[in-house]
Amino acid sequence: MGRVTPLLTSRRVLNITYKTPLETLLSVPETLPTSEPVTPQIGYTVATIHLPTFDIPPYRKIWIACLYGAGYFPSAGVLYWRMKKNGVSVASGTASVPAGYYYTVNAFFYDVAVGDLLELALWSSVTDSNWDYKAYQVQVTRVILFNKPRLLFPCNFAVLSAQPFLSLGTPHVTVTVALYPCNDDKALTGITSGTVFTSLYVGDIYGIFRIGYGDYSTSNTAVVSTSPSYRPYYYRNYAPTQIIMRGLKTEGQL
Amino acid sequence: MRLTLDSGFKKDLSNEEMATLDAKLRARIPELVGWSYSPLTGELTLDFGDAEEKMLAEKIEDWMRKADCTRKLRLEFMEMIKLWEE
Repeated sequence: MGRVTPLLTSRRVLNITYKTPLETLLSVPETLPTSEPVTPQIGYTVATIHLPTFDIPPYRKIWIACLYGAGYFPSAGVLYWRMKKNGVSVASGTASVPAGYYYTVNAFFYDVAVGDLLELALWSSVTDSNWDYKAYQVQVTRVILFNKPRLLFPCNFAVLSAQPFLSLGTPHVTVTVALYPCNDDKALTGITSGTVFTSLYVGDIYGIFRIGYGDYSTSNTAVVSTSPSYRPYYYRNYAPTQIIMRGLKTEGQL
Repeated sequence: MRLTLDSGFKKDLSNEEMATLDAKLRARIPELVGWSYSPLTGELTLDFGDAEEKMLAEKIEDWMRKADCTRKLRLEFMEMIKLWEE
């Protein structure tokens, strides 16, 4: 007896290309107001040109946006921030900033789409604080490459890259958080370099992986980092740039 | 260290409500560095900065030196496991 169809699909190499982050460093810092501004200082509208690209169109994917705002506090004070998506508040918070320190608001919007307006409003308890830096990049999470087969055999997270790479101002990375591969909708131990899994079952909720900031952690919210020397002093992700896999076919699947 | 709690309510906080909540939290929890609140989920995250983590990291280095060992491998703490990779 011979097998009519092969057991495994052909080898698929999924390459993901991330766009260079949009960065702006103001030549003259803007003073922060002492009450919430009507119009947030920082805003980006998600456009197709901002999205990561795939050489194989995935069956399902979810976009997250990393948005950064940074500035300086000559006097100690409390920074207030609010994240808005299409004019609606999705998170708000505060952070103590010591005198002579820079701050960076690391805001992560989950499940954004082309046309969404993403904004970050900043205000302060003191009159001499300011902001002068903003940046934005879109990343991807919860990818499902093909609807069927769902059993990958193997799944090789061949190449990861730290995203975004910010260059303006006095940039320094606070932390680059791991990528979380998922098996049957359960996150596995985070990875920070190329890793091969003998098999993975791709669940409907989390797909192949969850990105660290923006999905696994700090989803639709922000974290503020402070530094006497650096801004942006930023949080970023290990993001997959190449995943190699084969699907294990079951009866009746193509 | 950040601790996320269920506030039990989901409402958008105004500028004034944020200031009130901030004052209340800082009065009750002096070591608080910051906080965030989500009207979508009702989650309140308290941010204590990295002071505790730095202190623990220094202790770990000290314990390693006192034990005459050369490399950290694994830390188990409150059912969480941290692995140090080369």
